[in-house]
Amino acid sequence: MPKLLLQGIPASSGIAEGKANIFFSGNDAGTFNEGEILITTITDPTMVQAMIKAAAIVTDMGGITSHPAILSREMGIPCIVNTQRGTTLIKSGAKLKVDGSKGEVYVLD
Amino acid sequence: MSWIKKFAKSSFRLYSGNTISAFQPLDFFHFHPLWYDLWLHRIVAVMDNLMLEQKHYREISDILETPSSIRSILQKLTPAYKGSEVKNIEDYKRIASFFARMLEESCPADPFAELTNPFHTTEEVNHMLANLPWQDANVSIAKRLGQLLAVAGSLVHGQYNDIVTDMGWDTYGPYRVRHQTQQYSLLIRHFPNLTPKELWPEQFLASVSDLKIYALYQDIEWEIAYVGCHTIAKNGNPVEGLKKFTVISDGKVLKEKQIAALIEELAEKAETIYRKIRTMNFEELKQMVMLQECFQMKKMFDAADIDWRPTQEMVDRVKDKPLLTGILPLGTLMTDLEEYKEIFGINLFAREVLGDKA
Repeated sequence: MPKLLLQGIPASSGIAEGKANIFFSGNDAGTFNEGEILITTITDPTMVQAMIKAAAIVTDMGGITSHPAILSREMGIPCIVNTQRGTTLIKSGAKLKVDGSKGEVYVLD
Repeated sequence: MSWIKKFAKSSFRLYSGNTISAFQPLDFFHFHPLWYDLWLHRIVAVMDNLMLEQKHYREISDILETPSSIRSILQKLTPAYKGSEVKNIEDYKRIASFFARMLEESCPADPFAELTNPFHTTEEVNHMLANLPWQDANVSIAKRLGQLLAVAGSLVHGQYNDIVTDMGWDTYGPYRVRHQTQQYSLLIRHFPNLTPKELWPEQFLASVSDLKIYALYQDIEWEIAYVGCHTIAKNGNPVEGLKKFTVISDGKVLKEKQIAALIEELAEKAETIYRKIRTMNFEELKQMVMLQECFQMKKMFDAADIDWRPTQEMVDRVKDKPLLTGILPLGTLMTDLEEYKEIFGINLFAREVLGDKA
């Protein structure tokens, strides 16, 4: 049964499921696998190779016109921004469901 | 009625639901007021030299950047005025009035892009529909195009910075069109200069300079919020809604394999340039941001045969100086138009510079 873990601002609609990958600016994109959920404080262009592999993006900061929101909408993947606590509450490897329309992140396992 | 009311309503959409602290790689809004008066004075000199205030947009479009770039320039004037010690009111007034008029003449249907960025005439749109080599889309290519937009957008984010991005990325439309018996929304994404060699060495420039992505969608309602990079699908999904497309770089139509190769190249360049930016110290960042800001006016300055780059006086003004503080609240999530007008100095600008009320 999915358990609601945290909420943020809905920035790009859609629903995606996948493993969480806590990923920060400057990290090696080789450690990010296709279809994972990118969890970070705020994205920047050093993360773009991971972003284009992501099934969804969840950030601690930002708004609906911030970098992750704009790029997620262009790629048609769910995005939630301004969760404030995503990088501290979510563990890498956790199976998540991201609802970009409601701005909600659920834990699946 | 003054343009400032329409401007305020539209530009609010740029910041609504956002915080100033999200802008990167520098707190621009506490940096620009340190030196903006000097730069604006030079812009006025160029306007005088070329007699720009007597000319229609059509006569000078070749020395102006994209409409979103002009909107971005306008947007930065009000917080700069609010924060600057030197309030050269006449310079602010002439520059703001000139660029507002350029928008009214280039995009008369929605100058400040409250909902759309209608840069093309009906004849131009019909010409594109009839003459572009449209290809049928599927989910796979639609995802590819989304990735292409993401990597090109990330590259210009580094090349031009967060608030000069619009010089490197605009989106025109949405145009409601009929093509081969079907109704579509046409969006044109344009990256007009992926090779700003005046700002960066060769390794940070793309192998292509001009990139245009033409896309025909169904079952999606699009809005453009003040600038082209803030294109929002109000409903539907761009991947499922894309029906036809064509990608043209430097005048050549790209095939799917070439698009894939370009995604790989631009992603690597976007990452490399931003890693470089992350290594810059505070003084280097200030110099870079000032150079990027001045680059927005390069074509105008070149036409007047005046060096577009920062003067020594501008450089000296910011050298070893900390950023200003307290002009705008960095962490506040902007949600209210009236609050936005106060915070960004729009009411102050309307009253003191334009002699109006926002």
